[in-house]
Amino acid sequence: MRRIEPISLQSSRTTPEVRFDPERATLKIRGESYPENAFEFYEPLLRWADEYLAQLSADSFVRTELELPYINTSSTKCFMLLLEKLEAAYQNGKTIEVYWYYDEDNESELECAEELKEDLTLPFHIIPKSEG
Amino acid sequence: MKFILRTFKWNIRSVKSRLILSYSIILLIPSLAIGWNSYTTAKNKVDDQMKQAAAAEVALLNQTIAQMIDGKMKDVDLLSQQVSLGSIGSIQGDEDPKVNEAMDTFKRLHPELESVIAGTDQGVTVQSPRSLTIPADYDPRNKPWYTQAMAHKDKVIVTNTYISNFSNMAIVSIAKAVNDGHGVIAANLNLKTLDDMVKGVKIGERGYIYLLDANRKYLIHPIAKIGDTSTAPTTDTMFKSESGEIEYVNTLDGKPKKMVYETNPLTGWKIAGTWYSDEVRQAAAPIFRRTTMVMALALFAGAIIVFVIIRSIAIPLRSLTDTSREISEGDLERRVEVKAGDELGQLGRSFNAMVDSLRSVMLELARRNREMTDSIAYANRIQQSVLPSPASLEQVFAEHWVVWKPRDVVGGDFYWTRQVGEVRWVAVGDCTGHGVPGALMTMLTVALLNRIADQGGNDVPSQVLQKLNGLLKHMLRQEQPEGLSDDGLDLGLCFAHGAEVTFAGAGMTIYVADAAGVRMVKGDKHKIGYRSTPPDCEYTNRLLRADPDAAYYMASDGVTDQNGGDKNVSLGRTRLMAWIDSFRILSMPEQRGEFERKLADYMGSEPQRDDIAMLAFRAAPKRAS
Repeated sequence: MRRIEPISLQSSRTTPEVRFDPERATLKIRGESYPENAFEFYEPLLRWADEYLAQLSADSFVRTELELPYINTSSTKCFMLLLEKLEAAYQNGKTIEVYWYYDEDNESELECAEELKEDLTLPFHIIPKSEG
Repeated sequence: MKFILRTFKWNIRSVKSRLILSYSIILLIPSLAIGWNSYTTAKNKVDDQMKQAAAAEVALLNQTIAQMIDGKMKDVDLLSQQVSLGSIGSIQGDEDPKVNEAMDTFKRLHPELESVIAGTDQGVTVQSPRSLTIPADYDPRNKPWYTQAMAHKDKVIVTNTYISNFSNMAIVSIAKAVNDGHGVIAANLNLKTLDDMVKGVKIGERGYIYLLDANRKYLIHPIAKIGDTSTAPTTDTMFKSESGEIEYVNTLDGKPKKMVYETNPLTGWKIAGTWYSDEVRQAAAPIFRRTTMVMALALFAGAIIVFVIIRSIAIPLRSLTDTSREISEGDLERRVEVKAGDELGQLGRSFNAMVDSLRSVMLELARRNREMTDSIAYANRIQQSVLPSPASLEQVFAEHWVVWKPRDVVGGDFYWTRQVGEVRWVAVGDCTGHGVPGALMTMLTVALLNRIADQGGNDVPSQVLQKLNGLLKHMLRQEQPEGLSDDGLDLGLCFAHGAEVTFAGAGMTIYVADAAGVRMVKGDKHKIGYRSTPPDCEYTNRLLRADPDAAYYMASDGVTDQNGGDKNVSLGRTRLMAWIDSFRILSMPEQRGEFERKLADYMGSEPQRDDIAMLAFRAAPKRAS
C-alpha cells in the first residue's frame, strides 16, 4: 500500500496552520480561516482525508484537534465536509475523536463548534483553553 | 574630501571602510619597509664608513710609528758602530770631541729627537744638544735604556715610555751598546710629532685616536693624563689580542662607543680609534629625513589616488543605495545617475532598466486595478440601486436605521423591504462570498424576493423563505449533481401587521429590545440554498411578543464575527446585545451613530473581516408629535 505523506502547512493571513501526521494519527488545524476561495484551500486536505481514512486499520485511533478562532461561511462548509468524512469513518468502527479548543472570550468560536457538533455522533470534545 | 567624510562612519563591513583599510595597508607596509630598510642600510653604511676610517687611521699611525721607530733603530745601530765611549774619562764633564761631533750630527739629522744621549760604563753622561743640563745625581747606569741595552748588547732596544727628566714629555729611548762595550748610546724620541699627528685626526665629529704603551700607560690621549695607567675595561680587552673591535659604554659620559685597535709590533703599543655610536645616527639623520619626506610624498600621492578610486566606487554605490531606497519607498520615477563606463556603471544601467520594467509593470497593474476598481465601483452603484432607498424605507418603517458596509465596495449582505397590502415586509440577508460573487448572489436573491412578493399568496414569512429556497436552488441548479454551485444565504424576514411582528429566519437571529431589555430569537438552522438544505425545506414562523414600541434588530454575521477589542476576539452575540441594551432607549438616528462608534472602537486597527449589514426598526407607526 502506498505510504501516506504527512501534510504540514504554515498559517497565512487568511488560512490556518495544518499538521496532518499519519505516523502519530493526529490531524491538527489551528488558526483563522477566511480565504476568498475556501474550497481551493481545503480540497487537497479533504482528498488527503479520504485517502487516509480509507487505509486506516480497524484498531487505529485518530485524534483530531481543531482550534479555529474565526472561520468564514465557506470555510465552515469545508469543515462540515471534513467532519462528515470523520463521522463516516467512525460509523465504520474506527476510533476517531475530535478535540475543539476555544477561547472563552470568543463566543462565536463556541457557537461555531456547537453548530458543527450538532449532527455528529463521534466523540466531540469542546474544551475551553485555560488562560496563560 | 568633505562630502566623503561627512557621512563616513567607520564600519568594517562597509565597502568603503574595507577599501580604505586595504589601500592603507598596501600603501603603508611597503613604504614603511622601504623607508626602514634604507634608513638602516644608510646607518650601517655610515657605521661601516666610520669603522673603516678609524681602522685606516689606526693602521696608518701604526705604520708611521713602525717606520719612525724602525728608522731610528737602524740609525742608532749605525751610530753605535761609529762611536767609541771608552775614550771618555770617568768624571762627568769628560768628553771626546769625536763623540760630540757624531752625536751632534745625528741630532741635526734627526730634528724630531728630543736628544741624543750616551752613558759610559763609568757613569758619565754625554748629551746633544749640550744645552740640556744634566742633574748632578744623574747616573745613566741606573736608567732602563742603559741596562736593557747592556743586557742585549748586539740588539737595538726600545724602552718603555717614560717622562723625560729634561722636557717633562713622554719619550722613548732607542738604545744600543756601543761597539767597544764601554757604554750605551740612545736616541730619545719625543712623542710630540706623533701627538701632533694624532690630535689632528678626527673620527666622525668627536671620535679620536689614543695610544697606550705596553704597560697600559697613556701615551697620547685627548683627556687622560699622559703617563697614567689606564684602568678602563676596554684596556683589558685590548691587551688580550693584537687587534680587534670593541663596542662599549664610555665610562666618562655613559654614551655608547665603538673602537678599533691594533698593536704596534716593535713597541707593543696599543693604537686605538674610538667614536660615538650616536654619531652614526646623526650622520644617517639626513637620509632618514629624506626617506621620511619621500614616503610622506608617496603616501600623499597614494592617498589622493586611493581617494579618487574610493570615490569612484563609493559615490555610485551610495547613489545606487539612495535611489533604491527612494524607489522602495514608492518613487518609481527615480533613476540612478550613470556616468562611469565600468562595472558599477553597468550595474547602474541594469538597475535603471530594472526600475523601468518594474515601473511599466506597476503602471500596467495600476491600470488594470483601476479598471477593475472602476468596474466594481460601478457595480456598487447598481447594488445600491437595488437596495431600498432611504425614502422608500422611511415610507415603510418610519423609525429605522441601517448600516450597510460591504468589505470590498460591493458585498454579499443586503436588506430589503416591501409593503404588501397592510403587511410591511423587511429582510436582512447575508449571501455566500464577498465582493462581486456576493453581490451577484444579492442581485439574484432580491430579484427572487420581488418575484415571490409580486406573485402573492404569502401569509407568513416562512412561505417566502420556503419559496426562495426552492427557486434559488433551482436557479443555481443545485438539484442537479453536476451543478457547480453550493451557494446560498442567511436570511431573516419579518412581517409587521401594525405593531405585531412575525419573524422567520434561515440561519439568522433577530434581537428584540423593549422595556424588558434585549433578547434574541434564533431562526431555523437551515439556510436558504446550499446543497445541504432540502428544496422543500420548511421554516418556522415566530411571533415576537414585545411592547408595541419595541425595536427589532437584524444583523449579518459580519457584525458578530468582527474581531477586535483587548483580546482581539470576535464581537459575539452577548456583546452585541449589551450594545443594543445600552442604546435601545435612544432615538433611531442616535442609535445608528452609537452603533457605528462602538463598532469602530471595537475594531480598532483590525481590518473589516466580512460584509456588515445591520438593520433596526420599530413596527409601531410613528406617533404624531
